[in-house]
Amino acid sequence: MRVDNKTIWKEFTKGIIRENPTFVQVLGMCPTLATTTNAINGFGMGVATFIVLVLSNVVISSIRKVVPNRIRIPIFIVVIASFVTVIDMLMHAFTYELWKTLALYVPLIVVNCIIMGRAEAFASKNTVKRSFIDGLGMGVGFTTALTLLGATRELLGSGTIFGITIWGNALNIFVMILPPGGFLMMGLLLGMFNAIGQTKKKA
Amino acid sequence: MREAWKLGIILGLVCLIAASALGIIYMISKRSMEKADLSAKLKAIRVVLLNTKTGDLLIDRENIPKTPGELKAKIWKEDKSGIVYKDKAKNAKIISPVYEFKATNGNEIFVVQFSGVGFGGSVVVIGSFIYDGKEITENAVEIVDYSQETPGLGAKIAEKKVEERFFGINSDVVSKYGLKVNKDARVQPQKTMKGIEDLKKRGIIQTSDIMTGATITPRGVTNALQATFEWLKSQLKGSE
Repeated sequence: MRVDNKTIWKEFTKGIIRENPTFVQVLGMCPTLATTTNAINGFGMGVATFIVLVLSNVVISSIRKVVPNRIRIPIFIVVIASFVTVIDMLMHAFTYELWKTLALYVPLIVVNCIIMGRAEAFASKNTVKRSFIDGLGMGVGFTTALTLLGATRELLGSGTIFGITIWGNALNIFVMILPPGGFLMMGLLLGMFNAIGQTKKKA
Repeated sequence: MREAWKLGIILGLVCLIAASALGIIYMISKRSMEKADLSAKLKAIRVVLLNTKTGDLLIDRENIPKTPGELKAKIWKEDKSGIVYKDKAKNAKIISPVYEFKATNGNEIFVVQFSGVGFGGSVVVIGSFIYDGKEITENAVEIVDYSQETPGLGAKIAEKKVEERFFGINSDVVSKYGLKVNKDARVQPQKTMKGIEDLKKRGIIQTSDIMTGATITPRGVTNALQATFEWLKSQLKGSE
């Protein structure tokens, strides 16, 4: 039982640091760069993706034995697209302001390669329980990455984090909230994550 | 051939199940979605119906619509296409319907939802226009959709201090000078509120000091505001 719990914990944490979908696997760059102009947008997009990822992993894993191999990809896409539509409708109904801001990007979750990647590489080959844990870990990893990226860009570009003034207009590096700023910050954080990984390996 | 049929049927079944599930969830959340849309719209209408100088409501409290039916009763102009008027040159649209309210002092107030083109796409604005029988004076504007504008740049258009720069323009100024942002008018930004208000009297809206680096978005709103004035004037001509 203890070993089982350890495996579950390992399965969960791999998505957060070791196999972080954004900073290690470098997947889902389109929504990552587009929505992380501030922390709240990054966090909102991360949570929406997290929910779709967990639900699609569970459903795909539970139907993996009955899905014919030749049409597995279209079936996975139908499952993912359905969950994205559900999330879009629920956000519209209950988190109107966030939905207004992210309306452009939420439908793009359908083609987010993290979700498709986890469905194809993990959920279609593993049990429901493991797929659920994998979805949780990857989702948390993705949400953390987007929030971190959004918060850093917002802080450097506007002097605020989650709209709370930190240093206001004292230091505003304008480019950080523009697309080039997304690439710059992404590169710096990628480098930082790699450096941490290297140090851990050496240790 | 048989295999292809089998795969087709399985795929069709999966799609059918997914579509049915979506249909059920849509039916469940439909009312909440409509409620969210309506409350956002009512909130914006209420905001523009506040007198920008005194903070009081321009109409009687009981005349503020609370339900879709009450809002429908206030429709002044509408079009099935969803667009009442289009100004191609200014890239502006007046969105259907346009509402009419009676002010406590007897004036007519038109609440118009209009859109201009910003940096990323459409910027939607709700504005209130007071008509005293001779002149149209814009009371307030509320930016309701700016989701395609760059956060920290064009998206600043929705900040209160930016919206206020568009308050209190009248039709006399619009027909005499037209409306421009200060960068297009090649006017140095004013440092005092009096200077900013004086520019407004010449149809110049100053935003460059509070929206540094973003001219396209306020220009889009300014053009759309001018188109709205022109449309309202043409509609009210007969009733003068």
